[in-house]
Amino acid sequence: MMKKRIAVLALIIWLVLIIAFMVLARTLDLEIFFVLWLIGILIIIELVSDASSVPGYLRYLRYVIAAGVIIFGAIVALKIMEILNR
Amino acid sequence: MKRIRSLAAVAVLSIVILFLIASHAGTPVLYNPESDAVTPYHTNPAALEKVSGDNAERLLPIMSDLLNTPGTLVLNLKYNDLDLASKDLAKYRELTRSIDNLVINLDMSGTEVEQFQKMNQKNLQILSELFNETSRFEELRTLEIRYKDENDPAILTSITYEGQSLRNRVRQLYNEYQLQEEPLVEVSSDFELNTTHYEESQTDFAEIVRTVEQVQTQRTNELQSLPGSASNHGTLGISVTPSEGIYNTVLMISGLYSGADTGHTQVEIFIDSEKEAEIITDLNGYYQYSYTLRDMPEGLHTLFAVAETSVYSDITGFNVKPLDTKLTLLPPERSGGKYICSGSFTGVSGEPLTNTALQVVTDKKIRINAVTDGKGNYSAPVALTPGIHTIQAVFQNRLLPLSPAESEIYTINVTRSTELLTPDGSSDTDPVTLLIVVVIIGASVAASVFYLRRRKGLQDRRTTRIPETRDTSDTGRDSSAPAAAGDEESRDAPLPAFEDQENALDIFEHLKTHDFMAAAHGLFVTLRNNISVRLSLEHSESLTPRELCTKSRDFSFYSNLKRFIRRYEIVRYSGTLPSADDRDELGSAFSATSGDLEDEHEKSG
Amino acid sequence: MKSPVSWITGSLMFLVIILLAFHLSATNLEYSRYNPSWNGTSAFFSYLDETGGYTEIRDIRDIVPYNNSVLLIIAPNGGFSSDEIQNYRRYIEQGNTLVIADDKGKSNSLLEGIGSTIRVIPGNLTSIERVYDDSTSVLAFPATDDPHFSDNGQILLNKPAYTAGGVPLFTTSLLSWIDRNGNGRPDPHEELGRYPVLTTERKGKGTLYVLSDPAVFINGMWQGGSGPGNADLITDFTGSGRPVLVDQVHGETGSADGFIHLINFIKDSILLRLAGVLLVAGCAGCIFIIKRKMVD
Repeated sequence: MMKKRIAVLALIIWLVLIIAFMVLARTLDLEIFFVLWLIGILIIIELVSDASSVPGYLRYLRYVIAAGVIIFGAIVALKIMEILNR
Repeated sequence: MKRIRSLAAVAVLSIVILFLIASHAGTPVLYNPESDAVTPYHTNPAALEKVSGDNAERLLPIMSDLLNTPGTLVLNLKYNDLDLASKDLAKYRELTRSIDNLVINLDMSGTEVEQFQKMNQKNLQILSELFNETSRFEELRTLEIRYKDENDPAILTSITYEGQSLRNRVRQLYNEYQLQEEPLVEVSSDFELNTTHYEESQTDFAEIVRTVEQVQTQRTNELQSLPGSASNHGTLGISVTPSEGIYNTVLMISGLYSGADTGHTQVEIFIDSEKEAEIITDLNGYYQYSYTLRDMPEGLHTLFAVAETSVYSDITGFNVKPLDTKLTLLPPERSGGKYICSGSFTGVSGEPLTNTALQVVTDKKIRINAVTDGKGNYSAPVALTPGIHTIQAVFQNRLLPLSPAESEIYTINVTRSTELLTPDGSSDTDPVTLLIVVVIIGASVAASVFYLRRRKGLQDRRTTRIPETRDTSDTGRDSSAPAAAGDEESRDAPLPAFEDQENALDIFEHLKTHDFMAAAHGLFVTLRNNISVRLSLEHSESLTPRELCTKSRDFSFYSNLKRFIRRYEIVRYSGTLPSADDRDELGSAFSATSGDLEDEHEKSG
Repeated sequence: MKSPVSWITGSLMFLVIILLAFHLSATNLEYSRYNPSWNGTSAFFSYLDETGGYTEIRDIRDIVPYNNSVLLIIAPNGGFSSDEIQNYRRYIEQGNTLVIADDKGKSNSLLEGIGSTIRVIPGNLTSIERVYDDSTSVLAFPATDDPHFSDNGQILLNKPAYTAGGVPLFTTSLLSWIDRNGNGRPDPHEELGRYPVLTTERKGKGTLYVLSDPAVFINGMWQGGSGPGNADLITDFTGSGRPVLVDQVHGETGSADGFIHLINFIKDSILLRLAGVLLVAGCAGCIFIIKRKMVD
């Protein structure tokens, strides 16, 4: 159970850090926040699920991440369109 | 119950948050300095970009330099130092270019600065023309000296006539230059600029004109007093009607030649000292030439004729007046990613001005050339980037006797979305963009599918969900997945424990000849269940043999259990078929452990 | 209490309370000293704090006893009563310095009342000479022999107005105009010329300065967003070692809303402050006693 708590705590700290830096930079951007969240959760999942086992509470998280990857692709596509149309 | 309630709370919260985020999905930037940068009182500097370059600081010094340069330029012309004058002229040209750029960059069109710039442009034209005329005049002076020695009256006449036309031109230029003085000094004083040098240049210019006229008058006088004058070979008359005209006026140039060979003599007509035409006189010596006023600036122009026998006519001239023009521009039409700007260019009374170059100017900066057709219509395609633009047609050409004209200004808002959504693919980037977008979306979908599959594989090999009951334990199982060594649960899941110990041994005996592995496992599961019940262990299904062993350390059945487990591990994990001894030993260890368990039970009960 | 979940929840709650306190003690009112964002003046006030302190004037009668001090009225909001104007007049004639920073012309009634010829003329003063690529950014240059100001660098203004009358100390460059139609560029009818932005006048034994842009005091202009001479200008006003008074009655720097009002009110009244201390002490005592009892 310790692992679960560390993972949650790490994710919260990571998100709070992102928000803090966004506030410092005076720019609150959902897109950046989303991408950094995705990176954070991917890293945490990789670290939590070691070679031998994936904890059960991460069972459905993979669907969330898969959706996140698609949204990430959409964001990249939008950005490229923006740059090309400039 | 509690768990369900908290799950519901989390679900509701998540939905609320997703809803909040979704409402911002269109504009994902929630806050940045730009978003509240402007209040009625001030603007946040953090949201602004610093001005690049020092354009504004350069403006006034350049204006001051522009006022000073004509002073030295005209002075050098006055003293006939053409080398220095040409350097001055180059510098003046450079400065004019700088201020042109500055007026555009600083968006100063329509202001006094632009007036100043326009007047300087004109000064530059006047002075560069003056430079050319003065150089030519100097040239004529050297030629004159040479041919005076040779006493060639024909060439001297030619020189004198050209000098005459130069004199006209210089006088014309001076008039124009003078007209500039007052408004330019006025504008300059508004900018607190020193105009002394500029005003000096006016007096110097006047002196140049005086010198030129002096020299020319002297030259004419000398020509008339020349012995062997042209009348020896005959006379050539010239006249022009009308003597004044505007653009497209047809002038009739005519005259009579009388001399040695009156009929069929070739006569050359010179306008502004440049040969315009060669005509053959008729039998009576009469010649006629019609000339259409087009490619010449407004002002006085000289005209004379020379017969092939080197007989010169008198010098005469005509005046060209500017024609007021009208330039129209139709509302630009979008066509294939560009805007078509068309309109007509006519004189005030509507006569079309053909084959004339004009420009379509966007945002007062970018100029696109267009030429009017036979009906005075023009059309030019203009490419516009998204944003707000102004479009105007402009005509200005000092070399034509046409007054400058400007059309009305159109403001066009080119939106980005139209650029993006044009169905006819007129925007060049469109198909490429679409392709890129499709590729990226495809790639991300592929990536997520790959991720899901990879995770699924991991998941199946290591089901860690702890089953509540035995029945659910095989739901997550995939029979095709290879079972890894040490994977207890995936194997023992479908195997039932034997109901009780007596039964268990019977079935074991029965099974051990067919599938000993399964039989041994059945015994283990039976033991594990019993021990779990006895010791009230949680999640008994996930206990490995060793764990079971460790948990039972403090109990009396421990030694027998250890015996059983040791055999069981050999049977189960060694990978080889166990010997008959091992099989029996396993059975007896099971019975012993079960017996110990019974005793324990009775003791505690 | 031992569970980490409780710890996480606890620390998050703590964070939220701190943020809430921050949020409530700040405001987004223009020029307010309680506004820490770019359009507030919190940085200016902490600068004053660091360099010799200042006195907030919440009652105009308080300025009368001074005879060698500087009074700043930043972004006056108008509404000067005749009594107050008399007090201002006395104050300046006693040998004090009055600095008015106003771009809305709301100080004109005061200027008239104290007998000054200077007026603030609100208008969209724009200049080609700027630091930021925006028509609100305007550079002004020293235009005086006054040794106090002549060696100053250029000052950067932000949507300034201009002044009339008095002796100009700073003017914009020649390439400035009043952008009446707000298109950000000089049009034919918008004449280019120098416009005074800081003017001075002697009144009695004192001096009056009128700056046509209070934005030089806002945080956005303070934190690296200013021209080379902005800091000099502010020290010219406040750094002379004389007591600095800030008018919080008529200056927008004193504007506050809701919670801050409450805090200020409590700060200002001794009785309520005492009550607050007693309340806190009482609560602490109660908790202590209850705990004691529970232990027993």
